[in-house]
Amino acid sequence: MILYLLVAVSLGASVAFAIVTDFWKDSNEIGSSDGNDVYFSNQFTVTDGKNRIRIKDYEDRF
Amino acid sequence: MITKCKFCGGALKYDADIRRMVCEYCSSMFDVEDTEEEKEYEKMQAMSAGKNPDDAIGQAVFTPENETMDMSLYHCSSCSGELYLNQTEVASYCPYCGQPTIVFERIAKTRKPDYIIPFKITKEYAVASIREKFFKGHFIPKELKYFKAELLRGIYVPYYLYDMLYKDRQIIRAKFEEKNSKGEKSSVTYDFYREAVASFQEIPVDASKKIPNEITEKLEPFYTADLIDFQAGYLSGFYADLQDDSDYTLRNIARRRARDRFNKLLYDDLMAKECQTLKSKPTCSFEKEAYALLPVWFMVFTYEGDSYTILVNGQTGKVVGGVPSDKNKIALWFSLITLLVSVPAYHILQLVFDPVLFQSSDSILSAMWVPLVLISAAFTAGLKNYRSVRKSQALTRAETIKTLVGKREGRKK
Repeated sequence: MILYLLVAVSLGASVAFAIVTDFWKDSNEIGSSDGNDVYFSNQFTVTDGKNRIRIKDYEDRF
Repeated sequence: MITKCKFCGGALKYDADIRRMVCEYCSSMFDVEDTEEEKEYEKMQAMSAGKNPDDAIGQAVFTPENETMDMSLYHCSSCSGELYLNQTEVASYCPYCGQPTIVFERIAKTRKPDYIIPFKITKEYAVASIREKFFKGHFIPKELKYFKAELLRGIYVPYYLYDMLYKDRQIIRAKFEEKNSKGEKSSVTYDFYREAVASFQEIPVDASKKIPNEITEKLEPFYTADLIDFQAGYLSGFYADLQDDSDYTLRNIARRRARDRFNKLLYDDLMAKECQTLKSKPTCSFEKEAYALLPVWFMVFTYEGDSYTILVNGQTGKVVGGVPSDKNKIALWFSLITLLVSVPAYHILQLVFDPVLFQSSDSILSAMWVPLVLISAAFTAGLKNYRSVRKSQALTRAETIKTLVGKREGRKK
């Protein structure tokens, strides 16, 4: 009985902790930098590439 | 440049709403470019009359020979913060720590910025944006929601904009998810070799030590399409913080930002679930750099003895900051949810772990892993959120700015 009570209260408290902190994050943390760097204008080109290599075959390039 | 009205002699201020210079006394309006031409004309007239042209103007003075300008330097005796003002302005309190302990120090010669993005967001709009965020927040104290608009100050923050060419060769270990003929998922790992080149334009790096880079990066994006040649007229009515970070540090930050972006593009190219660089040989060259002032609204307020700073991007209106919380409200919600989950959970546990089915206490304990995993997962998610908010609050607390400035002062000694 005590074991069930302990587990139930722990479960309740941890779920409450997750929900409240999630709301807290939405409420009190304003602004995010996620995805900000995508606005850099850039040109990206892969000039050479090999798939499924053995590292030792390419070590001399470093 | 004149920052005085040619009709009544009153101070001209830049109005972000109409994007023109406006006289505070007679409401006359001027284009910033016109005031620049006017100033050049006055300077020439003064020179032809044998007077010192700087005396004739009495405002921010450009010396094109060395690309510097004169600004009034103010010093805060509370947080040691320094800020610059167009000479027609007077600072009444420190925008970094919110204290009225700011005093005029001297006229300082500073490097003239190459570009500026003038304020596009008005003070009223910035106030409305912050209010909207505050009203949406469940756990923001009520008294904060009715803050005074006077707390807002417009500051031009110094940035360097870098054009860079970044090359790298890498060995990358990538993890993929594959399905076998039976449709079962499994994880496989392969190594890849890639060489790539990326050219970046106008990577922005905040050149002020007083504002942590994590905050200014959150304020982004700043769209450089609005960049115009610097004209001191745009500073009227605003503060300006000028570069105090070393070129070496700024270039390192730009390199780090280019590397992160480059790696993301490279990893995206592999379309793997997870990627890890095992070996790399990057080279990075700076093609061009420009010094620019970008617009930010600062709001400093005090709550329960701690100072907090909320920032608003003066070009896009994006709001950034960590706001203090109403602890009683959090405690109430926490207790209610705990109760609402615990009571049914207790009954479910009694039903599921029926002593008839689980004949020994050992078998009950061994089956308890399910709720224990749930507890652990919920707690971990909560802890991640908690850390994120605390970090955000710590970053935007003026105390952080104070510490940074204090450290800088310490290094000087």
